[in-house]
Amino acid sequence: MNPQKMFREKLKGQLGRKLLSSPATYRLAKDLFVNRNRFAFKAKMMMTAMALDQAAEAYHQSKAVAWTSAFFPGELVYLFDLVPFAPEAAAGATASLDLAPDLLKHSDQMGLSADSCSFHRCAAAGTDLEYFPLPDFLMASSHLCDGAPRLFQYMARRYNKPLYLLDVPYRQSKQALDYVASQLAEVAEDLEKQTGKKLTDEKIKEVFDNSNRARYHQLEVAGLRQNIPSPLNGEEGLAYFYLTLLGQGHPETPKIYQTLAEELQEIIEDRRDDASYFKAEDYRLIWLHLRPYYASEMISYMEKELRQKIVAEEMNYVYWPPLDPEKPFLSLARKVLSHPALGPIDRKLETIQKMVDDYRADGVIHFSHWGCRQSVGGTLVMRKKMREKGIPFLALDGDCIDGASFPWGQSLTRIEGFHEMLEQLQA
Amino acid sequence: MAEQKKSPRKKVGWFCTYTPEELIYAAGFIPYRLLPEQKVGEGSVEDALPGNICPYPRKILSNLRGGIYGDMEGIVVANSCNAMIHLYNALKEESDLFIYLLDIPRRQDEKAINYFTRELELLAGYLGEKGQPVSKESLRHAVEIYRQKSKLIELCSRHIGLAANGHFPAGVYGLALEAAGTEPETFIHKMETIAGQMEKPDPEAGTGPQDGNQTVLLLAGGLPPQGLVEMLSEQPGLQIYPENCAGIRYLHKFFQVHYSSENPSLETILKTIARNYLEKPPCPRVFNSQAREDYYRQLLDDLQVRAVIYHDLMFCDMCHYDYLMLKELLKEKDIPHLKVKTELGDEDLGQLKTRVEAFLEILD
Repeated sequence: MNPQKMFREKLKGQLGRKLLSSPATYRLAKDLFVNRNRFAFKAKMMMTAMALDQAAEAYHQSKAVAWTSAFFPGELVYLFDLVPFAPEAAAGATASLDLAPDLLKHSDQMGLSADSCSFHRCAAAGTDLEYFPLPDFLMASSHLCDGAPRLFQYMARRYNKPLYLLDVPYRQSKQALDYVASQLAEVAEDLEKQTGKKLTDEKIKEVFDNSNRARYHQLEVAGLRQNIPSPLNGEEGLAYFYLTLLGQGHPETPKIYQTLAEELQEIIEDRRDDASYFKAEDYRLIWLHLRPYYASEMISYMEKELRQKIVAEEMNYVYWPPLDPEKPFLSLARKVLSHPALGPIDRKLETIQKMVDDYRADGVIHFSHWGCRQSVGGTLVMRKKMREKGIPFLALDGDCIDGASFPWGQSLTRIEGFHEMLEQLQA
Repeated sequence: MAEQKKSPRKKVGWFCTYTPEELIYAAGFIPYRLLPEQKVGEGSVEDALPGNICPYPRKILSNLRGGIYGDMEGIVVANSCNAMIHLYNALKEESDLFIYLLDIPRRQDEKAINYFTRELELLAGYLGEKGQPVSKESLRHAVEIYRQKSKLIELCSRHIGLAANGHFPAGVYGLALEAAGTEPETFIHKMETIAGQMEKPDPEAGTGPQDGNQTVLLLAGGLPPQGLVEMLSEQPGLQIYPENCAGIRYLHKFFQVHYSSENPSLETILKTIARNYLEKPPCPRVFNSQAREDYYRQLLDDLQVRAVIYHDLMFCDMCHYDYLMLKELLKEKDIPHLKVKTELGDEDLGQLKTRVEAFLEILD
């Protein structure tokens, strides 16, 4: 049996929970999935190694662990040398390990409504079953979703640990900036007390420098992907969302993006054997929201069979200005408030239009993760606006975690229908 | 809803109970709460709002398209949840009314009060342009009117049995609905008449149940469908307290007015309003789960709640997670509960009725 497959099977068994919560598992996984695996991109190998190291460190509990929700400014975690753990990312991992169906069932038994976001249902069940490393702090932001702060309230109550909730207004006014910045300053002040670590200018410079260098190279990657043909597909590109969740401020993140940029340059210049494989494209697409994390043919079918290539992802879009270490909290507040999906849909529409223009895209696909009110709720207005602009748009119903609810056949029909439309438009 | 006299004021719709009605009134409008309980408009809204978001905004949009709410000048949408933002987006696309998005903090501290004060300044300016300018005099007058209203509601709450005695259909819930959708002077007049017929309240009585023979049932969770409220109201021996934003969370919005000077500035009045609203009984969206838990504990104890029906409104994250907390409290206090799910329609009422009746039988 393939050792990687065997490893996955073991995790699904009765020992799964114990194995998942052992740091040794992640060291073994690093050997199996990093050292013995063949990665098309060195950058992805580096990111996988970083993710497994972070998980091992979180389970080891030698340092304080902070659970964070998506879009909470991760730099704050690194400012205090905390180990970040993202329950939503962990939910994605459980789907890829085929553990999600049992967790979803458990969340039903807990009384959490089945129409909640499946990332959150899995994370709630994982918390209840103690799959995850114990938190010392929990941090969540109200942008963009209503569910995450509620989920984190449940988790903080479960563990009786300090919870920091960031209330993010929809406006980008000075008052809104001050309001968010003052909350971030308050969190930092409390973390100083809780951890006994004084926040120094040197530490702020170090973490912000990591974040800014990562941003710089992320923009470099984005620029390279605007080439026709693009050197990177969505199958690879979507994976880098991990760095948005857990890598902002981490020293490895700029190195990963820099490596990726170098590798993309090699593809553009045909200096790699697989350059023609990555360059293959008939249609260039912008991908909104995330992807299925369980085994699914969706993306590979689109990209390989239909040659509809995802050239840019909403979740990898650099929307924030560089951070200023002289004004740390105001700067982080600005980052938080500049998210295009915050508030009314106009900013998101402008961003999509800009992405379509910058990447010279032929169409836009919105993966409508069923339980995500924030993204799904706007799809009809989005579709109308895209039609007015003459941009082909597909809202593809699905679920990132719960594969059983959305059979592949349904998606296939819609993807093929969209493909026909692209063909007709090109003809 | 009571018949209203023709008013020169035009209606401005609102949704969330953190929207200050005083401001809308001070700008020369009648604040009119848009609730899905009324007759549902014809036609689908699937072209604007998908089926898997909260049914409240979907029903509102349907009602607006059907002209159910009558003539209105505009709508103040609160940034209270994702679904409301999407309703705002949809209304901006298709409505001829003015549509304003009000930012509402989720915190209750001084930072949040200061931010909300600034938001109210912006709202006052906007409404002033659409109606009449909001001056400190007009706002102070509006605050006084609404203070009178909340005092009368408080008085009525002490005689809570009154609500079930025919003054308001569907008891407390009917009282709340009428309070939120009627011109304040008309409502005050009606309440004063009712209060005049009542015995003097016992100031020590608190807000608890007055009739010991009745079973106190808390109807918690999201806004319930009209059919569920009516069904419960028809059950003999039940005193129902709807713990939602169209029920006691709206009725218990007591207004404390303590200005530091005789002649407060507009900003001072706005700040007083901001504070009162943010400090009202917390809804599940507020970032203070301890306050929410304490509030539930107080309700369960003060009202001597015997049983709870939790309405888990479909696609409402606030409801879904609030239930996890309440479930624990009920277990701790050994209070039986029934969880029901609806999409605010009356389609499943038959099945719902069977479940509710079976639950009530167990209580007997």
